Amino acid sequence: MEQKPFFGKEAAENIYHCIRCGLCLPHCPVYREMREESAGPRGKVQISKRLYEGDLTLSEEIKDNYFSTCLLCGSCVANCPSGVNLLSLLQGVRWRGVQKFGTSWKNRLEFKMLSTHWMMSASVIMAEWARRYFGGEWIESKIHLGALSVDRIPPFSEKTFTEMVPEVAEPPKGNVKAKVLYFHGCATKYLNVGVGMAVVEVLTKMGVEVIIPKEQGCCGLPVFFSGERKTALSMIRNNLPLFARDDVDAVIIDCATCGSSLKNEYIHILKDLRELGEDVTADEIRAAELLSSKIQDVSLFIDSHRDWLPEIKPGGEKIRVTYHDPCHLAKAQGVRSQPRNILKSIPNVEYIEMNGADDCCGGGGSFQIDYPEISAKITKRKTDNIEATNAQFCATGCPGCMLTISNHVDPAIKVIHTVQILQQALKRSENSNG
Amino acid sequence: MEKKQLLQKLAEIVGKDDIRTSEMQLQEYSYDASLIKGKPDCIVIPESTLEVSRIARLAHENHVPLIVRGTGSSLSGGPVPVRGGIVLLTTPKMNRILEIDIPNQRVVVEPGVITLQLKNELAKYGYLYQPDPASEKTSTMGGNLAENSGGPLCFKYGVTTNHILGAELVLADGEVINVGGKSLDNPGLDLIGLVTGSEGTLAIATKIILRIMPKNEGVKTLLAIFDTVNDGANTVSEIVKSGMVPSTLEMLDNLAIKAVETFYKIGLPTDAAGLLLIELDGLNDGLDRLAGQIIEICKKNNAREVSLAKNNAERDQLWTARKGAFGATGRLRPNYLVNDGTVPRTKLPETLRRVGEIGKKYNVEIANVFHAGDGNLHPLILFDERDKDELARVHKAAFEILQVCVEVGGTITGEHGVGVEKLGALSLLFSPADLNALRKIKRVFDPDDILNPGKLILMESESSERKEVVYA
Ligand SMILES: Cc1cc2nc3c(=O)[nH]c(=O)nc-3n(C[C@H](O)[C@H](O)[C@H](O)COP(=O)(O)OP(=O)(O)OC[C@H]3O[C@@H](n4cnc5c(N)ncnc54)[C@H](O)[C@@H]3O)c2cc1C
Repeated sequence: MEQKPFFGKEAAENIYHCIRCGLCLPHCPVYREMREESAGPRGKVQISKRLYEGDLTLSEEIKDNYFSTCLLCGSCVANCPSGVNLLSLLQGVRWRGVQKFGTSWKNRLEFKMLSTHWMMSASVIMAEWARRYFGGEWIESKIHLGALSVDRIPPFSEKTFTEMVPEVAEPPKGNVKAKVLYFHGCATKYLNVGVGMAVVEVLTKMGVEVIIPKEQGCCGLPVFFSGERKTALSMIRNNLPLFARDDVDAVIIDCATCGSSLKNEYIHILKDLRELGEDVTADEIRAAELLSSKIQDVSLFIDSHRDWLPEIKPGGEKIRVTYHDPCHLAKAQGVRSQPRNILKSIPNVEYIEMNGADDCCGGGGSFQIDYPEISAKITKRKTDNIEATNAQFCATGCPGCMLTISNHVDPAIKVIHTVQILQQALKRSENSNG
Repeated sequence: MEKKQLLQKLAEIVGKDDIRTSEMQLQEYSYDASLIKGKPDCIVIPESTLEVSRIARLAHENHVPLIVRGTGSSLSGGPVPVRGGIVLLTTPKMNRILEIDIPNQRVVVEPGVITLQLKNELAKYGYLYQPDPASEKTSTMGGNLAENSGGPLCFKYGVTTNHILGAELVLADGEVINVGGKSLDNPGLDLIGLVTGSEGTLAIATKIILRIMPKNEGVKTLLAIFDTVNDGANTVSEIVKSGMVPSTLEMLDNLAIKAVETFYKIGLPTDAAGLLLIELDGLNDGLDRLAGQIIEICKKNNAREVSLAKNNAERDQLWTARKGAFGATGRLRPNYLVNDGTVPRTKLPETLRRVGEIGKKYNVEIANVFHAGDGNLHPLILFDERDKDELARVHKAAFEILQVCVEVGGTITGEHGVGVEKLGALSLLFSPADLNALRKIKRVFDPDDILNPGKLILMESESSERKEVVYA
């Protein structure tokens, strides 16, 4: 049977660079639990090859496998010596898989909502839905959304972040050192408003003018990887004109996943779709390249301009802090040292490194809902490592990780964004001024 | 027996959930890290010796090939079911460390334990299992035993066989036996020595007894850069002649350096002709002096630069790069064929020169990454499998390289095994009588050629020289 092409030429080249050495396997959180070829990256690359060359027909089993055994953490990509990018192959197979066998109703609903400026991830949507539908604390405590327990999911903010900030936030003392756009993603908009406030507060204190376009929408990543490429395209088209701007110093992002999406995936998807004959223009690809070059995770930006920060005076209560590397920050964007530098530079922070700091938290967006058992095992390793540090705070840079970790870790440990720790330290230092 | 019936019987042994038969899954066990390809009939996941034994008996009674598989990182086609049959996968359920006996320096593991997993566990006690194949992050102990794996440290500490003392084995007919034991010299025939390196063709290891050693007090890692490969090779010879025993003597040539630097970006000079990675271990006392002597030898042999890793982070970086070297060549060209001929150390310069000439003759690029201390070459011939003409030249070049190795007094494989890949080269090394002796031994263990057939030695004598094999 004739199959539609799965990948553009650039993506397909990955297939031929896999030498099957298996060095990806020990880095794959799903493989580590299951230890079968179908759970790991190597098997998927090889199956992609057979599909591409027409030796194998896309089956529902293959489609399901490509969904059920990948957290999209990118650990294989980051650790492949030959430079194979499984994620770009995965997208192609999921896309054709969904075209051939359809999406589950649950996913369809989630993506519709995401693409119409709703909210970040399946887990949150479902949690809120469960809350409304069942109501009542008692019943909430009994419900589990896959590996997540509903009663430990934070509620939505009364007001969205967009409603709480001006479109342009200016530094207090005039003298603008830099001008940036702020892409805050759905989590900050609806759920972690505090993270957004911290980003704006810290950046303006550094003398940075922050522009927060009101029309910004979901970054699209959960949708790209769900095979709904057409919907993904509409999301990219919403964000590109707002953020692909030459006249700013950087586009700041507080969410690891959004960052990796805007930095890495937009270009890739647009190119792939153009090659496969979809209606994508060269101008759009150029805009995506410009955007990619401007993207900076907030911790990267702050760390490279630490001299702009007001001095933080010593004193105050010592706090013990550890840091979890989000996959989409450490592996997809290479941001590892910067958040640590920030934390270590705060006088009252006692920084402690956990074991396996860059091991995946097991969440993977909706993965934890659809495949709770594997997810829970991966998360357990993470929370054990966090708890072993005796830290009071676990800082990180991804709302997805924050949700997953805070849902499972000892409740005495607060999981917050790196920038929030900095925000608190700056506040304390100012107040001690009298 | 019909396939359906066989599957039913297997399900009675391991349970339906531990059998894989879909087309997707069969494809996923049709390869290893070599170019050999072959599809199994099914995959089973046993969890105990008893289950393995019952599977073996079933396979034996029905003349179905039985192929054990660890992670499938073999470079010679070892776990590839070239004649179909049952693949027995050890990684999901036979992956426990059964016993760690520190005072007696012994451990007992199941075959699906990952090499590095064992090392990490032992590190907690300050102990070490010495052999360190570059694939240790992913390879299993069963695979290491079956391939008698080597690694950088084996120059000083010996290869896998020097660290395996005993095993519980399942024979071809399902019989369970114990060979060797926990002592250094066990009575009777050295069957554990025979089975180690037998590539899954004589028996299935279900438990492995290993020797472990305390971690050395000190380590010094040196990096020496050379403008000619000869200078590097001469340095190796001179270090060994001096009586010093570094724990590793690893070499990378220019193309390999380029590949590694592209990915790892650790600041290696991409214009250098070669580099040596030399490590010394032992008591802290005296290490500095030895390192000084080695630096001197390097300089005397025209090293452009010699540096000492300043800390563990720098050392780890160098080793990560070395261990990722094979994979990193995948950035230069899509595929490689790795040859692992071994030559006497003193013949290294000559062999490298001739390898270079062979590369030119067949117009193929060759990167060299090798255990120089052991004279264990790893010429990686780079190509693109989609170019059939190039592929043909690659195979010719590979064969000629092995010929050269044997000519200068070496052998056709240092550590990756014969598998399918080097069947054709056996006759370079063995006389017909030698080969027949191997066959006789195989027949004693596995008269019906059920265990991993088509590997290591072909039972039909005349076809042993058959060179054509199925490539992916
Ligand atoms: C990048 C790379 C680097 C490598 N570097 C080295 C190196 O430095 N040194 C080295 O020696 N090798 C090296 N190898 C080769 C390979 O990793 C080793 O041969 C390793 O021991 C194979 O282990 P595995 O678990 O992957 O075994 P597999 O590939 O799954 O199987 C290998 C063989 O072992 C047999 N086997 C597996 N388990 C058992 C068992 N329980 N009982 C009996 N037989 C069994 C199989 O039937 C097969 O014949 C490298 C490979 C790669 C891809």
